Amino acid sequence: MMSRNMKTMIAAAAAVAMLAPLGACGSASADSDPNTLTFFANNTQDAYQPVLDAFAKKYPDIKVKFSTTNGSQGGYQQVLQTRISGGKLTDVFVLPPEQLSDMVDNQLALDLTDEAFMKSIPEANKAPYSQDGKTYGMSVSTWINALAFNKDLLKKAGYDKIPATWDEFIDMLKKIKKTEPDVTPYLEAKDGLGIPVEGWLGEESAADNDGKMLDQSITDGETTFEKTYGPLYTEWSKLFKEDVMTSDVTGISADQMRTEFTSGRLAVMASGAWDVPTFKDSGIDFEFGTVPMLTKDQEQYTPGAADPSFAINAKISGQKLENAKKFLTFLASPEGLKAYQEGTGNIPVVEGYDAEIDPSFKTVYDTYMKTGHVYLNTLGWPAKGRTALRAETFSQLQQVAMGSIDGTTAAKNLDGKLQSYK
Amino acid sequence: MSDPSTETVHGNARRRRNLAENLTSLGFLAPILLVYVVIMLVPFAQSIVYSFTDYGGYDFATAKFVGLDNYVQIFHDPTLLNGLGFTLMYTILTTVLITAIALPLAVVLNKKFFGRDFVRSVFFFLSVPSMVVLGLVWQYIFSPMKTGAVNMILDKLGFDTVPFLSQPGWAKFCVIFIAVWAQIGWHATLYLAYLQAVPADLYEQAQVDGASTWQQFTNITLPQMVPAMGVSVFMLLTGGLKVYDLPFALTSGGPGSSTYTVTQSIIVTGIGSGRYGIGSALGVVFFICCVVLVALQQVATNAIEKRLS
Amino acid sequence: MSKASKSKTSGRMSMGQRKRLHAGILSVVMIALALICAIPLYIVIVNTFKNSADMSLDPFGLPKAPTFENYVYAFENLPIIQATVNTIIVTVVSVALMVLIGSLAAYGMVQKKSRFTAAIGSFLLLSFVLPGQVLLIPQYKMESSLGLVDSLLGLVVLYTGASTFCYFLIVNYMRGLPQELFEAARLDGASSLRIFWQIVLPLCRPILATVIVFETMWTWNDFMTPNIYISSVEKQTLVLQVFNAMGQFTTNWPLFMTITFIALVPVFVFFIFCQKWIVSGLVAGSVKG
Repeated sequence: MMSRNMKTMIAAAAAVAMLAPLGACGSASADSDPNTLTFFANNTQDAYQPVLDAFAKKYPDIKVKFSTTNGSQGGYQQVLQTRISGGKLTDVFVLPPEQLSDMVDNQLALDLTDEAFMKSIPEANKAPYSQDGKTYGMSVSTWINALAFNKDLLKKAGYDKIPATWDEFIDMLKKIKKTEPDVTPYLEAKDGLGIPVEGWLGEESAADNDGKMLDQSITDGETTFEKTYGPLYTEWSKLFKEDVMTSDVTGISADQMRTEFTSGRLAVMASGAWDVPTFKDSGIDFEFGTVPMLTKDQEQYTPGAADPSFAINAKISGQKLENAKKFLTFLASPEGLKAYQEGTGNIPVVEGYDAEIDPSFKTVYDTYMKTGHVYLNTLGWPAKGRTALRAETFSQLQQVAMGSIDGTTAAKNLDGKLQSYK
Repeated sequence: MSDPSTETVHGNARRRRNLAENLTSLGFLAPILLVYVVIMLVPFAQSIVYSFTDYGGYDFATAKFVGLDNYVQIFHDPTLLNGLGFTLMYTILTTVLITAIALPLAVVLNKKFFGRDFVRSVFFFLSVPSMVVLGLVWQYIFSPMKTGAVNMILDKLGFDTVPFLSQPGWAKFCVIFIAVWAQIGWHATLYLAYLQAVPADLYEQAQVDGASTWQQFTNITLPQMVPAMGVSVFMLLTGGLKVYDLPFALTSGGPGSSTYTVTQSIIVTGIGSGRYGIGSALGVVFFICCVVLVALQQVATNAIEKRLS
Repeated sequence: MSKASKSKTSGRMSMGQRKRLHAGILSVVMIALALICAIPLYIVIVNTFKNSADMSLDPFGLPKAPTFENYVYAFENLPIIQATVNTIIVTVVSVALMVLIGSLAAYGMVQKKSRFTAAIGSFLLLSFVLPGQVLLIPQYKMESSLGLVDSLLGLVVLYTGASTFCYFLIVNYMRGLPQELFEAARLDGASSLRIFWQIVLPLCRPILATVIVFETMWTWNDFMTPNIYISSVEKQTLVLQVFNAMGQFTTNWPLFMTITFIALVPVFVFFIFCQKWIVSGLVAGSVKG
């Protein structure tokens, strides 16, 4: 009996001993130290390490406490928002465009409009992070989609690059299919369908809509998805009519697509600069080409946008605020940008800074990034509906791919979905 | 001949004892009630409040009361209905299939054979890695292309390839197949624990009477396992209704919206889009539906148990 | 002809021989089945020895040039030891608490059957259908106001919410136990607490082991809660280390799988150790008597 009681007591004591460090963990806080900056980002520690190291070298007395969450946009946004609801916003944080208006309305992000470090940020990168003429986030880089192609496979079909127009592109895919029956001519990922459509929309937006985003006009009720997207979706569905892409595409993720491409079984895929390292390691001969447009005389556009921006917590002040500004100034400086590109692979577009571009990406960099010919349809949609509407476009295009609806119906269904976000 | 006064005394005593026993039970139940109320019910009550507002997940002080607007909107959103159909199908099929496989599996795992510990561990472990990883792996296995693992085998055997994840029917099949694969081990483990409480002499007697293995299974194991089945089925039902991560990791709800689930719409159209009011309203409606379904299941289980005992 | 002779041979087999033959066949069949079912786990493990490009080239096959770079990276760059210690503390304390709370409640329920306890029982079952996603923000606000965000204690507090799950599994098992044993002890004058500790809990060993294994696995492996609550590197749990493989646009899957694998080895060992308790014959023996 005695020994049993002893055992119980020892167990209880052990449990208490284990709880002790738990409590201690809760109390430690670095928030009050003005020389410690907390920074919450949407990419890995590895990606930011070069920036953090270079910054630490330049400002040895400022400590940056880095934290992150799963890189994918949705996950980061949800964690950021949950933490804000509990009053736990870091000093510096990555601000995605979807959350701009909430941040501004709740006075969470500092107005950066007149800061010196914003001078060299291009207008196109300020726009998604501006509201009522004030800018709240510093976006130093831009992402774009482009079509990666296997040079050897294209050569066998008699091509050395992606043709300029959509019909020629489809002809090329047909030829590839004929000359190499074991090769898949072209793929888009199931949750990234309709990449060319977004490029065409950008062109129409610039040419026919006085530069106002076409999707903004749809949101404002001036036009509809059916009228604008309908014909473009029908063009896109030629891929299936001409049998150069099959309904298999509705079950293929970006990772699987990459596997097909790197093993030489796929000729052309929708991709971006982030795939360059994997493609290089796999040893295939590849290059990036532009998105084919509907007619020859159209300007070239592609899906893309300013990367999520860096923002400062509006609640900080004094020395801490100065330090936060130093951090952003550093990020926009040549040495900061160099480290940023080295770690994240994102391509800086800050004026007066020449980013190093991989030769395979040079053509598309010159075509899109230097001209600012990028377009992201979701930026024109109601902020609260973007995630769901974007998911809905893929769901609708998957049905087009399966042949269960046509392009016009898909666009019409989007109009219905949009109604619930007004 | 009973004396009314003594009867009251007895009644009082019984009532007092009854009360004392209830209080003792309450003492044992107090910790769980505290935890349950603080960690789950109070937050849920808060989200019921959110469901009547346009709360965006930032500062609740700025949220406006919108009455039943969120609820009205839910019933106008056709994609929610899509999610409901597949969620119910998933719940029913996984419940039936897993129960049908896990119980016999547990009986086998309870027998003595070489490598038993290894086999038990493997089955239990199938579901342990996160769905993010398993989703990716299964995407490669069930890829609709010729290079998918299963299609590669079919191709070598001279069959046509199957559009596993790219055709609504097949995609549903794949999600349910993987759910069954992932969960049989854990439910078999549960049955295994319950099998330990079956009196061994029941089997000894049956063997003496010359009952076959099958007869032993239907006449002894099955009736003895009814309480365990109640537990297992309850968990499969509630888990199935709330399913999200597997279909999301495997198909993201596609192709089209064929494997879209209710929880996915709570996340995508509500919380993930910063529309906490709508998300909460969806959660409340869903909660009420689940309560009804689960109550029905409980009534059914109790009826079966009563009949058998 | 051959059929008859075969049956004759089997007829000549002794009971023990036949049993051994049965066990042998069972062994072969079950091991084969388990191996087939484990193919996805094999794919996970085999890819931990590849780099991204190799995995992309051939996700199924054995690595052509096996590399340990993912393991080296994980152990050199990630706070694996600290994260393991954190995970052990959180798991041990949480599981101990929830199993204790759950089994206490289960006993409270079984020892007195009344309308009152039945009502509490149904009330507790509601927790199984609460949609977790909508509780996220209220729970976070609560923990934040108590200063529990970004602390291991905060995780433990949230995990005790799983007590209702333990309760549910244990109470159904307890109901199946011979109630006369409790009655006898009560008539002997033992206190409720003593009956619980000395009679009921030992009888529940198989289900307790099952619950402990399951909850350990779940707590150890939970990504969602620490993902939202933990921001300091020194308080991260093991599964959070997968962040180091998830970039803005792409995921380094081989590294992701490696970290997952490293995180899972301890639970695997734990399960092998615990399964003996799940099938401990204690109950069967005592009931038989």
